[in-house]
Parts: sequence; C-alpha cells; structure tokens
Amino acid sequence: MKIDSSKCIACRACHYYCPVEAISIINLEEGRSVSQIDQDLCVECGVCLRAAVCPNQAHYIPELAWPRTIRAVFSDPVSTHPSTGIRGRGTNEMKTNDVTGRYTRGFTGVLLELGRPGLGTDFRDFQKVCMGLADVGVEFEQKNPVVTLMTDKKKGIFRDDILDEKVLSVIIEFTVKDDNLLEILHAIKRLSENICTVFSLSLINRIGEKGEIPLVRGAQQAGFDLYPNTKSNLGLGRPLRG
Amino acid sequence: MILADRSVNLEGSQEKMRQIWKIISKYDAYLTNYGNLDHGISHEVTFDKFVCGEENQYAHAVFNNQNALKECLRELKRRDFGLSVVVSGLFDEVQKICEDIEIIPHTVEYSLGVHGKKGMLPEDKILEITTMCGHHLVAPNLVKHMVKKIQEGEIRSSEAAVELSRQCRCGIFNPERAQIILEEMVSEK
Repeated sequence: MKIDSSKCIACRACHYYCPVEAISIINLEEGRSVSQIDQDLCVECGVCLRAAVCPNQAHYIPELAWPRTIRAVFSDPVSTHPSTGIRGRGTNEMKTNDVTGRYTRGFTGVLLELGRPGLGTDFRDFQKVCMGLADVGVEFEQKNPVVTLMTDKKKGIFRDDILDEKVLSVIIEFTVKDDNLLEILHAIKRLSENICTVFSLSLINRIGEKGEIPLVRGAQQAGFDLYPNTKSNLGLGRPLRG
Repeated sequence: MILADRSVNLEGSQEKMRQIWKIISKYDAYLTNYGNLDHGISHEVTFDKFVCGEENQYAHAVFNNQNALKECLRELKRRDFGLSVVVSGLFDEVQKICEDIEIIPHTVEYSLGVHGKKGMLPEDKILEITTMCGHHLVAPNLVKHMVKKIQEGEIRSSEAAVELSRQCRCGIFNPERAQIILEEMVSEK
C-alpha cells in the first residue's frame, strides 16, 4: 500500500488504523509534510484503504510483485488463497470436521498462529518454528496453503525469497497422537523462547463417545492454561449423498 | 458460523446458504453483528445482500441472547441443511444449549493462550477488543484513539464501538462487548 504524496495533507487520520503502525509523517524536500507508509513494515492488509478516512483518497495499492504478494495473501482476509480458493488464511481447520473427518479420535489437532494477536511476523521466524516442530517429528497438514511455500516439507524449510516478507499472521497445522501430545507441547514451549514475536496456540479434539476431550488433560499436564472460550462444531454437517 | 466444505459438500450449498441467511435474519433483534467476506457486515449492508447473494462462503452471526441462539440452532437442526455449524462461546454454556436441543457436539477447539514475546503486546483491555477480530484488522492505536475521542466528548461509546467493528470484515466482531470495554477504559483514566 502507498500514499500519493501529491494528495496527502498530513491530517494523520489514517495513522490510527494501521494494525502494524507502518504510517508516519515525513518531511518532503519542498518543506511539506506528508504521511508515508513504511514498505518494510506494511503487511498489505488493506485496512487503511478500506477505512476510507482519507479526505483526498490518497491511499492506493501499487501492482505487487512476488514475493511481496505473499503479504496480501496472508494478511488481507478479502484476498482469496490461490491454493484453496478460500478467503481468509485459507483453511477450514475444525470448522468442517464433521464432514471432512480431518481430526479423529485418538489424535489431537494443533494450530499455531505466529504473529497473533496483532504483532505480525516474518517468514524467517515462522521457519524457525516450523523447523523446530519438524525436529520433533511433526508432519504438517498438507492442505494448509503455507505448506505450498516450503521447499522441504519434512524439515519445515521455506523458499529463501520469502523469508523477509512480513504478514499479520500465519498458521501451521498438524495432528499428533494423543500419546505424543505432551512431548509436542513441551517442544512448543521451548520454541516460544526463541522467537521475536508471539503466537496463539489452539488444540482440537474429536469429542469422545462419552464426551471425553483428551487434550484437556494433556494441556494441563504440560502446564498450559485452557481458556474457557471454545469453538464447537455441532456435528450438523454431512457429506453429499450419492 | 455456518459453512460448506469445498471438497465435500459445496455442491448445492448456495441455495442452502440463502435459506440459512433468511433464518438468521429472523433473529435480527438479538444480533450485535453479522456478515461475511463476500458481501460485507451488518453496519454496511442489510440481510437482503446475503439472502439474495450469488455466493456466500459462510454465514457469521453474533448473538447477544442465549435463548435466541438456541432457537436459531433448533431451527437449523430441524431444517437439516447438512452444512457445518460452529458455535464460539463458553464451553459449558454451549454444552447446555446443545443438551437442551438434543445436539451432541462433534469437535471442539480450545485456546491455550498466547506465547512468546508477550511483553510486546498492548495492555489487556486493548487486546480484549482487538482480538475479537480473528484477522487482526482492528489496530490497538485505533482503540486508544477511540477512548480519547470518547473522553473528549467527540464521539459516543456506541459509535466508537461500531467504528472499531467496521474494520473487521467478516462480521464476527462484537460491538456491544467492545462498547462495554471502551467505557471501562474511559472510566479508568
């Protein structure tokens, strides 16, 4: 995203809307002040443009070239992921588990969203996390669009040209046997000490026949707090007949 | 949230989604927000956009009344559209609603919180508001700016909450809850 300096009157109205504080005032040579978007910080989320608070409509999206297009794909939820055809970060996760059967009993789904809430991340830090997970035997969910950017899916290594690209957040998904959950959670704790941002962690279970949720005990044993706010798939979905 | 899965039951789901939006629209009095990325959010469009819309990847609706939510779910169950329904809320409350309408939840997702460089995060009350948007489109600075504008009498807390909600493009943000938190922040200053 850029601001047309010929239109900008430096009113600063747009500054508040940027989730990553990429907009600031600069002084032009002719002595005029304008707002400018730091292209390194900007994650191409589109918020400042959609906010429509600029009196002169000075914000515009220049033609983005690879690898900068990555930023919009993972930061602008109005974008459609080319690999999944879905808007947003491009994965249904547990939302359609009643029809996909992705998460089955005996296994726990793990979602790790780097950069959330609100700090963002670059792919260099994300690669660090993915490589650390791969080291403990994690196999990444292949339908997750971020996996298409890996040059080595077994080791969690990404293509070099995207490592410095910044995004609002990026999710890695995988499934582990319930028996291995404790080991993986300990590994995740260690990884959290070596990154330059934050991540949100979620666990998913297919509920047992008697209402059992194995992840609860595993998380507590590993020393994690479980938040009371949950997402529940009600089991009303079904595949098409025939 | 109600949705089809592209690889399983997408075929024929668009007419179902339109009917689902018609059902949701009956509970308008109990909704603080609704919408989707295809057509917009409640602050900008009416239900017609969704009910008549060509494409609805999903439906988001935020209820401020448990009984209304329960009745909506009861109707969705009765109509048997075959699309997935996901409810976000306190697990015990969701379980109780499901028991009342004889639904057995299939899958659950728990949050284990935030980890890493937590010292870089804004204060808790700001996070309570910004994290209502799952895509992080509500800027912490915008929350602070709205608090200041409320304090200075430039804007009502309800208007500030809607301005924050407007940045979340999928209709999941809860402006009523945001208003309560904004008023708490104003009274603390």
